[in-house]
Formats: sequence, C-alpha cells, structure tokens
Amino acid sequence: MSLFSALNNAVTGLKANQIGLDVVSRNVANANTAGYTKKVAPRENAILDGDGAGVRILPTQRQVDQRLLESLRAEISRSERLDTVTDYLTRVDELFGRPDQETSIAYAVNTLSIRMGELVDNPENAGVRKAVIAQADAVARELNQLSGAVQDMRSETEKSLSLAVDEVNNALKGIEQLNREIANREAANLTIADLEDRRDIHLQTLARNMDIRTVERGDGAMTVFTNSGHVLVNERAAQLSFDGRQVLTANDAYSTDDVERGVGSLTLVSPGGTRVDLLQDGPPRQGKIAGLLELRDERLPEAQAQLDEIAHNLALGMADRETTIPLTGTNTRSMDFTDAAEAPITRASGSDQVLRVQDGDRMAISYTQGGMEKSMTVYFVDDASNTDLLNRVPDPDNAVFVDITGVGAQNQGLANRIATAMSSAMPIGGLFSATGERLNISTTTATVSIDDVALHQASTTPVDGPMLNLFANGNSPRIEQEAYTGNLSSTVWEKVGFAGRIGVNTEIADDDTLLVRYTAEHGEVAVGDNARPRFLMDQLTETRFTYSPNTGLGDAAHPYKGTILDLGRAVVSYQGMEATTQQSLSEDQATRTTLLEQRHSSMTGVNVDDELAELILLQSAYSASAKVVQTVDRLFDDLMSLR
Amino acid sequence: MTSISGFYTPSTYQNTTALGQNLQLRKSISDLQTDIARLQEQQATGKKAFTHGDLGSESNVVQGLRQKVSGLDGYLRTISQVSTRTEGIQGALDVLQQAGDRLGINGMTALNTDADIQLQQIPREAQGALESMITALNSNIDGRYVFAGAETQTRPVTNQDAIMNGTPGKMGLKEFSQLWLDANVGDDGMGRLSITRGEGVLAPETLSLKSEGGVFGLKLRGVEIDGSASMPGLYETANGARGDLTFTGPGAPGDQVDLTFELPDGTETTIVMKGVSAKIGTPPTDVVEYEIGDTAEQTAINFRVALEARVKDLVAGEVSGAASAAAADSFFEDNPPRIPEGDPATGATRLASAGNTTVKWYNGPGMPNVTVDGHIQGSAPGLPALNDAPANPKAGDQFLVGATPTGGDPFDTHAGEIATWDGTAWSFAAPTAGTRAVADTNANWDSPPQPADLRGQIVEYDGANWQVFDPGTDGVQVLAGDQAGGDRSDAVMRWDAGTSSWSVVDPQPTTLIDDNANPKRIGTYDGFAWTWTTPELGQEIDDTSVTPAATRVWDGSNWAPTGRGPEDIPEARDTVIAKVDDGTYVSYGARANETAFVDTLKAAAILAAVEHGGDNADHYHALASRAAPNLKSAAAKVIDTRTAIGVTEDRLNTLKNRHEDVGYLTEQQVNRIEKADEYEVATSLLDAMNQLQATYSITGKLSQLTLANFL
Repeated sequence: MSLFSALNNAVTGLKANQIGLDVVSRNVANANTAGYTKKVAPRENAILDGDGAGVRILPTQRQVDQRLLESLRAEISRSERLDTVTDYLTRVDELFGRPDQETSIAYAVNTLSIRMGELVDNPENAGVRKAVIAQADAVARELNQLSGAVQDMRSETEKSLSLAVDEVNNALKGIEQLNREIANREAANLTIADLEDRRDIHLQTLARNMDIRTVERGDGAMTVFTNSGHVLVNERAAQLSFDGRQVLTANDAYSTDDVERGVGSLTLVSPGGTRVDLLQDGPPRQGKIAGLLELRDERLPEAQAQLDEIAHNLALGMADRETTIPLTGTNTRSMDFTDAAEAPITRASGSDQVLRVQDGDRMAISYTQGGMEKSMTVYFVDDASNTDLLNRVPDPDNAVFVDITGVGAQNQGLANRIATAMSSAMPIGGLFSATGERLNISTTTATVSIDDVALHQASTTPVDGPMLNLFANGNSPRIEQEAYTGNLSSTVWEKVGFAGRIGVNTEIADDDTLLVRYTAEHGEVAVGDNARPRFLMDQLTETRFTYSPNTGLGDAAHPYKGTILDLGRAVVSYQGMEATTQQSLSEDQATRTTLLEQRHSSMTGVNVDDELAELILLQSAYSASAKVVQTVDRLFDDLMSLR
Repeated sequence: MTSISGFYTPSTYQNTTALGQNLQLRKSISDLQTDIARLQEQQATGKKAFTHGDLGSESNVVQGLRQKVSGLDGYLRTISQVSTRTEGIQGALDVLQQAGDRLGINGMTALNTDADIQLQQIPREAQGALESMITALNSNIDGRYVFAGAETQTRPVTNQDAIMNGTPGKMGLKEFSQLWLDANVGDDGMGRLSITRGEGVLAPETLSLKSEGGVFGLKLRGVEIDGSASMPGLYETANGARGDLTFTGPGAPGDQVDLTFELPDGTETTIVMKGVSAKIGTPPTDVVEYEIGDTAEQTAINFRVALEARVKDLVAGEVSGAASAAAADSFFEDNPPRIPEGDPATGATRLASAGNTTVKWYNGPGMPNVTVDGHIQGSAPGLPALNDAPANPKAGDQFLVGATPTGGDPFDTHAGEIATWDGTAWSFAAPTAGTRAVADTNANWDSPPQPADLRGQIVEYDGANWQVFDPGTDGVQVLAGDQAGGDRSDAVMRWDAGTSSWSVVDPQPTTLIDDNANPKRIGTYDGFAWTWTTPELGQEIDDTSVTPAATRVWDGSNWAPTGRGPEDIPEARDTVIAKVDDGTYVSYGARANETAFVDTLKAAAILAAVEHGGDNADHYHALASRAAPNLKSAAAKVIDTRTAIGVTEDRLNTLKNRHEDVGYLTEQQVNRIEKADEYEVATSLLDAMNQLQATYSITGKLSQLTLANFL
C-alpha cells in the first residue's frame, strides 16, 4: 500500500519484462533452428498473504502437443523405413537394366540366343563360333557382376546397421542424461523447456532408426520402450549391440541357430546385463533398422535367388540329357535300368563311364487326371533326410525324393526304389512297379493316364551330344572349375550364389569346335551339322522350365513356367515393379509425414512477426513500469524535500 | 488450443513459422526443378521412362515386344542366308541340268544320223559337259560346299581329270571301264562265248555252245528250236551255261533256232538263226542266215560260221556298249566299286572289290556301307546220291555213289564212294573223315549203313558212317552248294540245336560273311551263283545280322567292331536344317550322290571315258544309245529336285514377308508405349517453367514482408 510497495510492484514488472525480452530474444535468435520450440514466459499475479505484490514469472515453458509429437515420430519411423528400402531397390532396378540402353541381363541372354541362331546357320564358321563363346562369357560375367553387386549391397546394409546401432546407443545415452537433469531441475522448479527440446531431438534420432513408444513420468523423465515392450530407457539406458560381419556372401543368411547364422543379429543389453535377441523376440518393424534388415534378409536374397535361378537354368538347360522311358506295350512303359543299351542313362566321369543316376537327376512325369494336366517329379538325392529339400525344388507339392545311396554301379536296385517311392505318390497306387531291374509303368487307368515319363540328367562332358555343358561352376583361373550338376542334397546348396560363380566351361572356350561336334551313334558328327546348335537354341528359346518360387515369381502351388528368355524378362520387370511400388509407397508416406511435420511446426515454431509484435508489447510495458519507477522516485524526492 | 501469454487464441489460428515457410518454399522449388529436369530428358531421348520401374506394369509388355522383334530379326537373317544358299544351289543345278540335257539331245541327234562324224564329237562334248557338271556340284557359297550334305567343308566331287585318268596308284574311269570291257568281250571278241564242234566224245554235227564268262560276257539263257536240230537242254557249268546243239539232219530252209542271251547290263537279246538254201545278199537285220548243207555236219559248220560272225558283231556293239554302261554304274554307285577278278581281265568270271585301287569320285558323306545280313561258317557242296552216273555232269560236280549201282554203269563197283567228274572222266574216292556235304533227297541216303535220316541235311563222314553234322552251337549257318537240290541249292542253312536238324533259312540273307574262310570274305548272290570278294584293309560293313546292328571294319585278319552302329543316312534334303520361325524348320541340304545327279554324271562320264576311234563305232553307238536317253531322264529328275527346292524358297519368301510385317507392327506397339509425345512434353515443360518463374518472384516478394522491416 505504500510507495515502497508501488516501487516494488514496478520493479517486479521491470523484471518480468526483462525476462520476457530475454525469451523473445532467444526465440528470435533460434527462429531458424530445427527442432527449436517456441518458449513462452508465463506470468502470474504475485499474491502474498492475500495481497497482490506485483507480477511473478513462472519457469519458461514450451508449447508442445505430446500426442502430435508421438504421431509424428511414428510417421517418421515409417518414412525412414520406406525411404531406405526404396533407395536400395532403386539401385537394384538400375543394376538389372534400363530399357533404353538395353544393358539388362534379359538383353544379354537374348543376344546369346541371337548368336546361337547365327551358329545354327553357319556352324562351320570359326568367327561365328567365337562370337557365341564371347557372348556366353558376357552373360556369365554379367551374372557374376550383378551377383557381386547384390552381395555388396548386403554388406553395405550390414555396415549401415552397425552405424545405426551406434547412433541409437548415443541417443539412448543422451536421453538417460537429460532425463536425470530434467528430473533434478523440475524438482528445483527451474525451467526445463530447453532440455526437453534437446531430448526431443534425441527421441527423433531414435525414431528414425526404430519404432518406439514413450511414456512421460510424473517427474518429467521420459521412459522409452520398443514396440514389443522392451525397455530402452528408464532410469538408465539399455544398449543395443550388433555383431555385424564385414563381408556377406550369398551363403550367409539369417538363422535362429547361432551356429548357422552368417549375418549379424541385434541384441538388447539391459542396464542389469540381461541380453535379449531382438530379431527373434520383437524385431523393429519400422525405422531404418527395420528397412535394412528387410533388405538384408528378404529383398536382396530374393534378387540373388533370381540371378541364381537364371544361372542354374542356363547351365542345366543346355546340358540336359533327356531319356524317355519308351512304350513297350499298348499300356505300359518300361525300362531296364541296368541295361546300357536300353537305358543310356550314363554320365562320363573321368575315364570311366559312370552308369548310374546322380544327385540332382530327376524323372519328370506328366499325367492327366480328370481332364486336367498335371505333373510330378521324382528327384534322385544322396541324402533324403535333408530337411531343406522341399525348399530346393521348384514344385514342392508335386515332388518325390528317392534316396540313391547304395544303388549299384549300374543302377541295380534303382527300379525298386522308384516303384516304392511312387506307390503312394500318384493319385492311384500300383501304377509303378518293378520286376527285377525293370521299372514298369502302366499308363492308362480309368482316372489317371500317364502321358510321358522322361529322365533328365546333366551332362558333364562335351563328347555326349547334342546337349552341351557350356557353363560350369567356377570363373576364376585360380579356382579349379567344376561341372555344375544341380546337386540337391548337399549341406550347402550348390545353387545359392551360383550366379557369382558361373563361367564358360574352359574346355569349350579352348576348343570352340565343341560347340558343333560331338560323338553320336555312328561316329563324330560332321563340322557342318547343326544338330547341337539347334538343340542349344531350342533350350534357350523354346523349352519351358519350371522355376522355384523363392525367386518371388509364382508360388509353391503355381510355380512360374517359361523359357529362359522369359525368366530373364520376368526378373528384370519384377525388380522394376518392386522399385516403383516402394517408391510410390514412400512418396505417399512422405506426404503424410510432411503434413504432420507442418502441423507440428506451425504449433511450436517461431513466427518472427509474432515475436516482434510481442517485443513491442514488452517494450511499452517496460517503459510504463520504468515510468512508474520514475514517478515514484519523484514522489520520494517530493517527500524528502518537505520541510 | 494454444495460448500466448494467457490470452485466448482460437484453435483455428494458424501459425506459420519462418522456418516452416522457408522449407516449404524450397521443397516446392526443388520439386519443380526435378520435374523440369525429367521433362528435359524426356524431350532429349524421346522416351517416357528411364528405368523399367518408371514404365510400371507396361515394362513387361515392352520387354516382351522387344524380344519378339529381336527374335524376328534373327529369323530374317537366317532366311536371308538360307535364300542365298538355295539360290546358289538352284544356279548350280541349272548348269547341271542344261549340260546334261544338251549332251543328251546332241547324243540322240547324233545317233539318229547315219554319218558317224557327229557321234565322234560326243566324247569331247561329254568331257566339257562333265567338267561343268562337276564344277556345279562343287559349288562353294560363303565358304560352304552346298552339295556336301552336312560336311560343308569337304569338296564333294573329285576333279574331272582324276576321275577320268586316275591318279598315281589309282585307276580312273577309263582304265576301269577298259577292264570291264576286256572281261565282257574276251580275248577273241566272242563275248566269252565259245562254239565248238564235236567236242570230246560228241558227234561232229553237235555244236557245244558255252558261255564261260561267269558274270561277264554273253550269257546263254535259252534256246528254241524249230527244225531238225535238238538240244537236250541248257545246263549249268562252273562258269556259266552250256548247251549242246545236235543237228539231226541237214535241215530244211525255214529251220529256225532262237538263241537268247543276257547282256552285261541285264537286258536280253535273241539271235534268230534261220536256215536258208542260199544266202541272200543282204539279209534282214535281225535274222542271221545259215546255209543248209548236204549233211548235218555241213549244216553244223555253216551254222557255226554264221553264228560266230553274228556274235562278233554283237560283241563289238551291244555287248561292249552294255559293258561300258555297267562299268560306269559300278564306278559311281558301288562302294567300293567292283572290277573283274583276276588278271588278265579277259579270263575273269567274277567280280571283286576294287578296294583302294580306284579313284573315289565322291568324297562327301552319305555313301552307305555294304550291308551284311548273314554269317556262315563255311560252305558244304551238294552231294546227290545216285546209283547210276548222271548224263551231263559239269566239271567239278560230285556225287555219292549209292549202295546198288547198276552193272555196266561207270558207277559200278564204287558203291559208297564219292564220284567226281573233271569234265572228261570220272574219278572215285572213298569219303574221308571230316568231309562235309549237303545230302539231297534221294532215298539212297537212307539205306544202310547210314543210320540216321540224312535227307536234305548237312552231313559229315565220321570215318565209318555219314552222320548229320552237328556244329555244336545253335544257330550256326552253312552255305549249301548249287548241287544240293531243291530249295537248298545255293541257300544258307541253319542248325537248330533243339531239333538237331538243318533247315533252309527263310528269308535268305543276301550278303554273307564267311567266318571260316581266310580272309573272311564277303559273298553276294548275283542270281546265278555266289560271288565272293576279299575285304580291303579299312573297308567297313554294316552287320545287320546281329542286334543291335553294328558297323565293322576289316583290320587285316578280322572284322573288328568299331563301337558304332550303321549310320542312319538321312534324306539329302534333311542334312542341313535351318530354323526360320518358332518351332518351324526348313531343310535345304543337298548331296552330290543323290540319284538324279549321279545318273547325270554317270552318263556324261562314260560318254567321255570311252574313246570313239574309227574301229569302235558300234561300241560307241551302243553305249550312246544307252547313255543319251539316261541323260534326258536324269535331267528330268534334276528338275524334280529343283522344284522341291523351289517350294522351300517360296515358303521362305512368304515367311520373310510375314516376319517383316509383324516386326514392323511390333515396333509400332513398342513406340506407342515407350515413346514420349513431343508436344505433350513441350507443353508440360513450358508450364513447369512458368510455375517456377512465378514461385521465384513470389519468394522474392515474400522475403521483404517482415515486421522487422516496418519497425
């Protein structure tokens, strides 16, 4: 009530306006800082003992809608995942080919078929033969290159995962520290707005890398969980650890078994020391880490599988020796597997003729049931107990495996095993039977009629014709080149990564006349006889194969069928489609994220004009309070000058 | 609801931050710039998209179309190449056909004129024709010999000089045909026919006509008598046939004896001998007159003289001509060719393989090997069992004397022995152990002491008795001699171990290998007798008597397996195949040893090989009358071949047009999808640029509008 109180009130006003100016100046200075939220300095009427005593400034606050911020973080996670995947898939698309420059693998295989066509017309021309070898080499190299690039990208993802994990760990540590400071300052009633800003930045870093959930505790600290409920930061921060490999190859894949696992796995180490394997129990579903994991374990291996499929079919298709089991009666087909004249199912191995079937050979049966055409394939394997076998064949629903360990050197016992295996495989039993070494197949019954039964084997010598083992396993002069036989039951599946190892058979590269000449029944064929080039060309352009569903084309019930040229085309288109799809998903997501970001920043960002207007307000308020002080001062003078 | 310093601010209050605005503006500008860059590139390349992804779902369609176009390009290239080759083939065949045709016409014209001058030009013309035919068949297009089947790098036909004159160590056609001529003409110009009167014990009015050339010369086939002469019949000799013509009386005018002979080329000719009282100055051309004499002997003498003269004419003409034609046939068609066996050729009775002693005219693929369809373990001569000596045995015949020979007969006192006629007398010898023979069906084979039923079986003398010969293994085959009688004569018999008996094989094999002979010779039946040829080193045969059929090669002592089967010789057209559309192939190969071409070559070659001097006019005439018509018919066959190839050419043309049309349409489809519309792109580009300009100017203006500027 006294002058003193007036003075005091004016001084509180001055102080309040000073603080206000300070806040405004800070806001203006940070107008362009990303992640800075607008601060306000709230005031309240200072009341002491029921009487007003001027104005009191409360701790600076920021105006943030927490729910909006959480939604924004979730959208950022999604965006980041989609952007990462799109980025890599676009690179894969570019690798696989561009339509205007025609450098796609489809084009290379097509050119091979064109050269082969020229060879059909001019088998005696040495120049044409060399051109065929050169193009085959080009195809092999392209496959090698693509395979190498795909695996390089996988290695990149592994490294990026390490970096992302580091980033996450730093952010977690930062959050832990800030939590403590915020709690302390809150208790001391100090402003925490700026620290909260800093914490939000860390949280955003976290959200970019993996999807998180946050809960704000009463004391201002923020608890962060993974989406599956594991605690990342509470009182103390957990750490993520990633045992990444330096270089990944096609055979390095994720497995829940630590011994087999060839790639790194994410482990969450809690502050108490408990380890949780995140990939097995709650992997991140959004964020960069999720995108990189998806690329490393699903998308890039799928691209590799596509390349391997092309390589596998190129090598085996050209080397395919087909032996039909002949009709021996009106309703029977039969063949004696031990009779070399009747069943020429041989493969030369070194200086001996190995007469028996080998792992990877198969018998294709096509039959009609109820008017529908179906097929069944019998695969000959060395180890039928290998659990991965069903994954390795293109048509697992219609595959039968026959174990050939113990079958005699001339296929003794084979007919029996086939009959046993087929007795339950066909829709009606009893169609396949064995008498001695002779396999008998009754071809026509009331419901099922068997149209064709043919044995397919991979030739491993250029002497046998007209098939040719043009491609082999091994493309470096330092490694000994082996024949590729499509082995099915080995522990490490030969087909995985074959695109990186395929090369032109050095025997044929050294002697290109092998493209034309081979030994037929009556002797060596003439140098102008184009039977072999014609066979090779048909295998490339007309014969239809069935492709494995793990390429992403077709599925187990309806596998993709087509020529090798079709496969090349389908693979290139598939990658293109994937890239486009991901890109449009990513763009859609970006729109959503941008909208939220705009909304958030419009609520919490600094509008310079606004601040300047506030400045005007403060300026006049300060002058007014200063005027009050001046007036009270004069009044005091007046008081003092009273005699 | 936001609040600023306690004031109420409505929730519709939109705050735009400096940072936000700025970022927004920059994003818009960047988007516009990206658009402009993309449109620029579209304009520059003319294409809508740069990656497959950008094309979207149409990417698969575009790729499929491009692949189709590329496939069609490949087929068009193939068609163009094949067309070049077939044009070359047609050109060569045109030359071949014209040369053959011209030679044929000139030959026939020359034959129809009386003057010999024209015919004398034929050899030279034939040589020229042969030269151009060989050049045509050796046509080389793009480095390929188009008449060599699949062996496109091998020159198919040997050059004309080598074929005609041979090379060092190898006979050419001239020398080859001379051998044939010698064998057929004989050293006395009588065509291997001998006419003797009163031979041996025969009466002086009996003429013995013997054709002794084996497969060569004039082969006596039949005699028809109308008049006072008789002949008991023709009977076979070792090397041919023989007939003894006995004049029973001097005869009367009008008597006729028709003698039918087979010529070396298989045709038959008949000499009509007519008896006349006095010879006319110029008898009709197809009749030979002989004067009736006072006695049978005189008639016989006249008959003989007239016949000899006629035979010599015939031999100098028809027989020589036929011989040369047959020589050409063997040279060009047999693999290897056959020559008269033995030296001199004038005494040869059989054919032998020429082996490596002749020039091979054809070096390409597709010459089939000799096919052997039977093996024998030696042969056994026929041994008829008789009680009495036969009336007309031929030299070398053997008989088994029965148990009861008639007294006074030459066979008397020689029961059980083997009688051999050497041409003049009988010789007898007891059978030795191990002698094998084929028993005929004469009952004498049953009588004791022969225990078993031997009739019609192959038998062996064990020292005491004749037994059925048991070779030990089932299926052994033995060749029965020509005296075996019935359907056993010259037939292959097989041992059946189950029934322990021999039976005649049905069907009879046509070509045999005698595994018991040394060397293991090849035998063929010429309708008359089995002729044996010795194998040459390296000669191949296709043995179809085993399953699977195997090709064997003579290694000097054995028929060694080659590990291969007989070559499946494809149709000449199918030796070269091209792919001209999905699943569509055309065959356009050709081989110089196709029938049409060989016939043409053969005829031209023999016309060139035989020289036409003054003294072999008849020979050449006869040859030309065979060769010239052959040329005409061969030329017709060549036309057939050309037509077949022409059909293929037509088909190729149709396919070419179709591929071109489809290719063009497909390109259009691709462009429709891939190409960017220039006008659309230009318009969009203009729009984008305008937008950018506007954005820039607004940005500029906005930057001025801040409260700070107004305070």
